[in-house]
Amino acid sequence: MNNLDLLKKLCTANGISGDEDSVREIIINEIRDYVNEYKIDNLGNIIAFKKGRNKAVKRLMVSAHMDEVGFIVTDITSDGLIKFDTVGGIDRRVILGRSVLIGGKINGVAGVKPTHLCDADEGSKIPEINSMYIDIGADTKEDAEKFVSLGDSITFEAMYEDNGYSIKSKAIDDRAGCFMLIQMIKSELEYDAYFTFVVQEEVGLHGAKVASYSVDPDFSIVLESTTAADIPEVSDSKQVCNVENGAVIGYIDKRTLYDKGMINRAVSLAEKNNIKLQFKRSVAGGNDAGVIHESREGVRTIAISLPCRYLHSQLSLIYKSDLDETYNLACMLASDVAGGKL
Amino acid sequence: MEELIFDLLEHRGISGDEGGIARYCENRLKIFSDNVKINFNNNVVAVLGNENADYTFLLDAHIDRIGFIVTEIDDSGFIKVDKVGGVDLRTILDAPVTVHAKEDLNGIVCCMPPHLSDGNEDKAVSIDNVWIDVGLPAEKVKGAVSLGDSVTIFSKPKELINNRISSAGLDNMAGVCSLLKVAEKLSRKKINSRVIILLSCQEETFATGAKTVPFSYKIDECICVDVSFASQPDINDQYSRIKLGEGPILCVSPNLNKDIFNKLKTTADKLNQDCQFEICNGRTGTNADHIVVNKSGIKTAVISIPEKNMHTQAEIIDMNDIDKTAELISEYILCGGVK
Repeated sequence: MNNLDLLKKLCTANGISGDEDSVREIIINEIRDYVNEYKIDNLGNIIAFKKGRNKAVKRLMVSAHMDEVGFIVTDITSDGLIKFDTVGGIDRRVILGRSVLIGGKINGVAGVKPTHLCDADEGSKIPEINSMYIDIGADTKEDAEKFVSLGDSITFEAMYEDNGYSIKSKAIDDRAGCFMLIQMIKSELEYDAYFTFVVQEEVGLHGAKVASYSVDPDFSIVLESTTAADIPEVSDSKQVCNVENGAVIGYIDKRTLYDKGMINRAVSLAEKNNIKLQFKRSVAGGNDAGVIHESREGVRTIAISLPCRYLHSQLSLIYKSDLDETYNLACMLASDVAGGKL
Repeated sequence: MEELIFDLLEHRGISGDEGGIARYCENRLKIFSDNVKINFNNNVVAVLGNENADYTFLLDAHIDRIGFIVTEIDDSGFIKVDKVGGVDLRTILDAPVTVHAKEDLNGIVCCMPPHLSDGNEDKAVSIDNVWIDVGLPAEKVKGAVSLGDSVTIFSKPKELINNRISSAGLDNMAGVCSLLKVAEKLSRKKINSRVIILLSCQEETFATGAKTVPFSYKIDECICVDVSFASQPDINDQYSRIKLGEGPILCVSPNLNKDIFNKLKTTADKLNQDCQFEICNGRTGTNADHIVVNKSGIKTAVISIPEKNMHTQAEIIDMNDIDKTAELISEYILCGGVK
């Protein structure tokens, strides 16, 4: 796909759930000249409408979420250390020793008692979140309070690398979805469509819930990054999906039974156009489809996902070929759906 | 903030793969000495002061850091590694790493996302399950990576507040930085003694540099510069009194020389400089353990720079402590040591 500089810009922007402002700003700057109208709703979602060459037969909403997982400052200790809680699901094993950014500007690192001073049990144990802390270099509470406030957002330090085959970055979930949505908006559409860049997916799908109410679509396509666990020592059935095997769709996850008509259409489009498509091999995860398909009287919904390794940590990994396959399938399905072919 | 420490941290050499950092240090030292050498193990030796003096100081700091070594490459191109030195496995899953292959390849330590958690969130990964993903097709990986290649753990060196910095590898670039500053200070002075600066290899594994290099010289006294523990949560022993920014830590141990310790203390007082103390009951866990018993024995002291989060990507030191360490050692040598 072209314009991967934009993907980098999106992924390295900081926006945990409830603090998506800087991501929203990037997106609005990208799309404002390509949409017929857009608005920002009460929760901070971007709801955009773009006319196609033809009037839509069915109202379609294509959605991706802007937020990423991270942390929030809960306390500052007397010795100047920052206590935090997670925002979104983060495994405790990927936190200690990490570099973070507090409030978008202050460097910090998640402290670890040196292994030399631990007994055997302590040295191999991952502490509870409430025993972890971030060190910004302060020695006292007063010192730290000059730089950090309670409630400040904390993100993993941004890193991004494209080695020609794959991309390693922070926040691919779901800036890759936002990226594909922007590319769709910049392309010429066959039919009118609504595009929603939603907030707070990682903390209860709140953005998508109200956006789908406002748009009131007949159909919805959610563009997500989904967990690929195709790594050593994970049995095939538990790998869910594989990188380099193309776009991912599932019949079911932890929140949604997906629309069979849309699935069948996606499969036939993929076959006809030689697009790589794979099915999720286990029931795992959930995404904005969980609330969109239950909106109002119900919305026919599918999620088209990008296989992504190491979700919800500082560095995730996707293959560039999968980005193309996922984008191409999403564009074709969007056109068929809005054109009333289902 | 000054660039030297950041330049040093750019060159990442695990034990046994110190070539890059050794050459960088060699070039730095050549500014201050006409007599700088690297030996076959990448030990760097610079001679300063009066080369013909009958009294010789040895100043040692190790230049290697902890990391991994490649032990296997699987059919899909995933790379299996083992530890070199005391890597803290509580910090490793999803860590950014660099495989120093034919070209440097950046990768990620494989981990499972929380959506598929195995329920073992309480437990650090075992080294038997540590794999690296460089995000390249298997044939590319096999063409570039060889068994035995070194792997370093990456964290971007960064400034914290209060003149502190955080990075992987501050153990022992903090010590190396101090000795480079000592070289600079001494090069501007007339010194009657001979001063050998040894930036030694393989401390994190078998202390090969410290065991072998001093054998070639007649050394009268030695100071080893390393890092030691500063106070942080859950530390309840003597290290709870060690603070960042409050000066170098002088070590007291049955194995170490008390005259040097006392003279260092007096020198610090003379400089009106803070210093802190750690008490060992024998071995110090530094190169000094090997240097004291070199040949017929060498009078040795250990000076440490206070550090938090040792052996992780989140090591933190205070630049003031590096400066104070350099000042103390330089002044000590100018005062003639314990000759």
